[in-house]
Amino acid sequence: MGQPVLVDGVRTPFLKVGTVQKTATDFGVAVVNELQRRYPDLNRSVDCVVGGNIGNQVFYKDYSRKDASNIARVIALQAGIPKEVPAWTVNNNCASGLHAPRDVALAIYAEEFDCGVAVGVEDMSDYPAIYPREQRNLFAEFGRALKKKELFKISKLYLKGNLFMPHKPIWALETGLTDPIAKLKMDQISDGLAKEFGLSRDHLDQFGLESQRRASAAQRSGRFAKEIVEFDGQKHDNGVRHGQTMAQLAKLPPNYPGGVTTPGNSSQLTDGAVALLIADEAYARAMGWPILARLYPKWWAAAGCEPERMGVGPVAAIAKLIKKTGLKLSNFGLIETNEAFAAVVLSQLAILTSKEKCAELGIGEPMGDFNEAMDKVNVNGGAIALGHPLGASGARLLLTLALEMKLRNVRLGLATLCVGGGQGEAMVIERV
Amino acid sequence: MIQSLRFVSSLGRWLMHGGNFWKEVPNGDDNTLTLALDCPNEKQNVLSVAVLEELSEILDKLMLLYKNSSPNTKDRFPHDQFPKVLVLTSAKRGSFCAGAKIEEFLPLLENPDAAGDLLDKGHQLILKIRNAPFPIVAAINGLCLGGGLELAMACKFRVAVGGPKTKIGLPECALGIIPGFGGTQILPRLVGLMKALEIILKGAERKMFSAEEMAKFGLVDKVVAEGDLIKEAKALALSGDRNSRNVSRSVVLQALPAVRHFILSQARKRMIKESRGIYPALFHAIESIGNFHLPLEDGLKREKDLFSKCLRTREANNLINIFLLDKEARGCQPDRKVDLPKRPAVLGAGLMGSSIAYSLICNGFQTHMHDSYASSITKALIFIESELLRAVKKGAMTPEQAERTRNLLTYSSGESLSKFAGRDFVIEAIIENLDLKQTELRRLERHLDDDAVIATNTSSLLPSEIAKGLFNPRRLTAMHFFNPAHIMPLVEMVGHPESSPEAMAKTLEMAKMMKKVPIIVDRECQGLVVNRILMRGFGWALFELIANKVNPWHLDSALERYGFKMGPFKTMDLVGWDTGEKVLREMAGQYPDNYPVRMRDFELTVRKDTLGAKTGRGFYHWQKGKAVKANKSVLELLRVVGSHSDLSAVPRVVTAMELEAYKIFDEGVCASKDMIDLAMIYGAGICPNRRGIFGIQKSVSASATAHTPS
Repeated sequence: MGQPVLVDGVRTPFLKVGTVQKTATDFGVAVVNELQRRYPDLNRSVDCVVGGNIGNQVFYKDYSRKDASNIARVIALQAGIPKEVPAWTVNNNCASGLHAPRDVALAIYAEEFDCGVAVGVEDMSDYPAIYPREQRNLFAEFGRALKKKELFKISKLYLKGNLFMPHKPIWALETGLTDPIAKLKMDQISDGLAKEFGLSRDHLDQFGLESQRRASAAQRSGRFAKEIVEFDGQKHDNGVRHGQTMAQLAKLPPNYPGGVTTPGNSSQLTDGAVALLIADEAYARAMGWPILARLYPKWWAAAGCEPERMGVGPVAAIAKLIKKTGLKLSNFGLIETNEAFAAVVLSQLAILTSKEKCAELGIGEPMGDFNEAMDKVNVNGGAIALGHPLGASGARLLLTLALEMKLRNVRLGLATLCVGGGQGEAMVIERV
Repeated sequence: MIQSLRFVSSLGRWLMHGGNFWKEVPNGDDNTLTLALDCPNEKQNVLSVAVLEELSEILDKLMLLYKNSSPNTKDRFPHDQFPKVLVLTSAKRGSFCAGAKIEEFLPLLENPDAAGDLLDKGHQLILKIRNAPFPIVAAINGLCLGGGLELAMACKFRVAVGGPKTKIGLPECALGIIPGFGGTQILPRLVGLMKALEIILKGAERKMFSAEEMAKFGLVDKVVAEGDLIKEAKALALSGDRNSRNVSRSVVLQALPAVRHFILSQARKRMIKESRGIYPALFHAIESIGNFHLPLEDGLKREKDLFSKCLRTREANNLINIFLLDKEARGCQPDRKVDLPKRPAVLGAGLMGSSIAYSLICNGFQTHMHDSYASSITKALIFIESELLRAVKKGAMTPEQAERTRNLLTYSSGESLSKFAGRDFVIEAIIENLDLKQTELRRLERHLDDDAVIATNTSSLLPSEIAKGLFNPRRLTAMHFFNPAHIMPLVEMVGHPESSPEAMAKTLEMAKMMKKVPIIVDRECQGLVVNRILMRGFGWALFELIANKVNPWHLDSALERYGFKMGPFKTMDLVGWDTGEKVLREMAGQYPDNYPVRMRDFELTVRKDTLGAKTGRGFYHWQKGKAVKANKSVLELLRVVGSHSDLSAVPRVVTAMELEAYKIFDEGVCASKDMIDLAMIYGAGICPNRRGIFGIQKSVSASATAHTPS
């Protein structure tokens, strides 16, 4: 059996939508190129490239845009990785970025490969608008009528579409953030969780403020610079609001009337890419590569829950993981959980710090109280400050976690994400 | 060049020979001389007679040298090797000069005629500085107040370090005197009549200005960074670029007789309205400033006379005495050495809790703040952050400083108190409920180390009662802050019989580190000093309204003319009627003999929209924290028919408070009359002009009280 290890990782700065006019491939190529620069043997060593991406997998007629359905392959070829190296893309919504390294690790564990690159990438500014079936039918009819020069039909179609060719596209960004089963927007789910766990606007805003302050401190101390490579002239995550104040957060109106979720306590729409280099431990040592952390394919779990409670998916995943591995909550010195919404993290912590609920889940002792938990959770802030480029977030959590574990000399760390659609993924890594 | 260098450095040595205060700062290779004031054994530079005499001597020597030097370059002391510029600065960082040495005023208070000679000397020095044949520059780095500023104003140019450390002002009026070292004459010449009036009269509230503001007024010629101070000062003196182009026009305009008289009369009217006309120094200051159109020598002569006149007043005696008492209280040493508390925490983030936490972080403490309710934490954070923003806007802090200060604060909410682990000083500010305080403190104790101190911010509950609920009652003390805690300088502190001396010592150290004026109450009692006296006064003031139908607004203004900073009804509005009534009832329940019987079933809080300043309506209409006008409908609300003005109510209210003060003294609650007075002045603004309730005791200054007010 192989022993997969995380050798290194790099990410672009996480940039608010519209900051740069680049495609997802550009982001992905930038991080893979940086890995190639750091490890000149990479092109000869790499056995596979696994991408994590959700919304940029479309066919563009304009080939200069270069995004395609299997974006990992496009990135690999663009970055100059040999054409013989296979590449595929995984999609498990928000957890795609965590699932991609897990895929690589699993292949290495199975001794299929020695070395692989996982690329989580998302360009939320480049999300397309989609025409639904009815609209497409209308287009087709219009085309046929034009061809046959049926003026009467054309004029009728014009009237139907309010004299102009009707455009009623579906915005991928909007649909992507809506649960089709529960028929709820993600922020409505956040509101629901807040209600269920008795979280007030104050709790959420305080968490949002804390995330911003932690990220601000980490950015100013140069902590993030260790994981970031300059991209298109941008050096820093630009979602971080230095000097954010409570008064500013408290002023924001809620996204839904009567709700508690505001832009201030939700993650931001962001572009970004993360690349992780994962290899077999013996191979990495032979190549003289550094080793950040060990990944154990078994120390991973994905689990489902009700779609309308997708925020507590990680709890189900963690419970599964703990039962599977025999680890305890107290083993994890650091926890990175994706701050899709403040309510999501707070409800996870509400369960994980409650004795009764932990007993109910069968995961033994809870994490201690909320304040103690906050000393371990997202110590450098999270998606509320940095942003949540869906497919890249999981890989960022893993990278940030591994680096922080090294800094703080922590043995075990947990990275977890809630997944839209009612799932959670969790992965434990071990510092070497 | 080398020769000239040697000459200048040996010159400095010769000039400074035998001096204690003025030191020469080594120069570059230019022909300038920099003198730095460094008062030995003092935290801040103060102008004593000795300092001024030494400076005068140095100037005499320089002048002598200048006279004997010859324009002939081949001579032994040629002109061109003579120092071209003299820079006056301070060797202490952050303190140019904090003003005159107040202790030296004490003999003057007893013998005001001696002040004339002293001021004559000072005025001669000023003229010497002004008439020097070479430019003298004041390089202001830090605090520059009173006499220090007057010295700087005598110089030809003033350069100041920008930023929050530099504070410039003339707070003489706060001591019941006027700037007597040329301030009232030179300041209007520099900045014009109106600004001079503002600076000197605002000084009564100890208002200080930043270097940037003063540069706008035209007082400071240039604002520079700290490192370049001396360099810039020299450059300015050599180039002679004054910052007075805009100002000079207004100075001339405001010196026109009609304009001058109008401005002065307006200032007098405003002072009568604002200070109720009970501080004569303000009017003497206005009169003295009004002489600025005279030749400087004449103006200075009149300033001298007015200064002596001020010294003769009872108010000056009293205010200077308060200054000394303040110093005494702040310098109070605990009876034993203890480890200084380093990691304080605040339990309860309400109005008091948040302002205490703010006060702690402003003094550089890493502070934790906890409240059971997340909403209180949100409000506290908004309060603290907005105070920091305001400090930045006012120039009292740089944005980086504010950010650093904000980073000192951590907070938590909810049930768990685990974040208090390792905290060595917890200030408890939760609601005044004995059971709640006891259970919360017991819960808190589980997380604290054995030697951690809990200081409860209470005045209505007895610390010994609260201590009954504690595992370790010895660690409990009481520290009573006043609202808002970051502004009010007073802290009453008291232990209960079981409080350990270490805990008391730590509490005192903490109060001092928070830069508060600690008043040590010797025996616990409900209400401590300030609330006991104040509430008794309020009780009887209300009695006057209910029973004697005295017009409350007339009573307020009469009491303000007596010396109260704020009349009882206005204060009641600010406290809030509901809170005020609750405290009043508690105190009346505790000391039933001291309160009018009618108070027992009198309802003050009748309507929810009339609860004082917070609802915008009480005895007064309130707008933006200021009482705008009387709210006549209150009489109807309280069913008081036909109120009338009755000045005999004033002594009745004052006597009630006096009796309570004597009772406190008699019961041994506070053994020092001086400290009771100081507490009343700082905690409630009661009669600073009369030095509190007792006034100056004979033992403090035997003959000071003998002078009749002029």
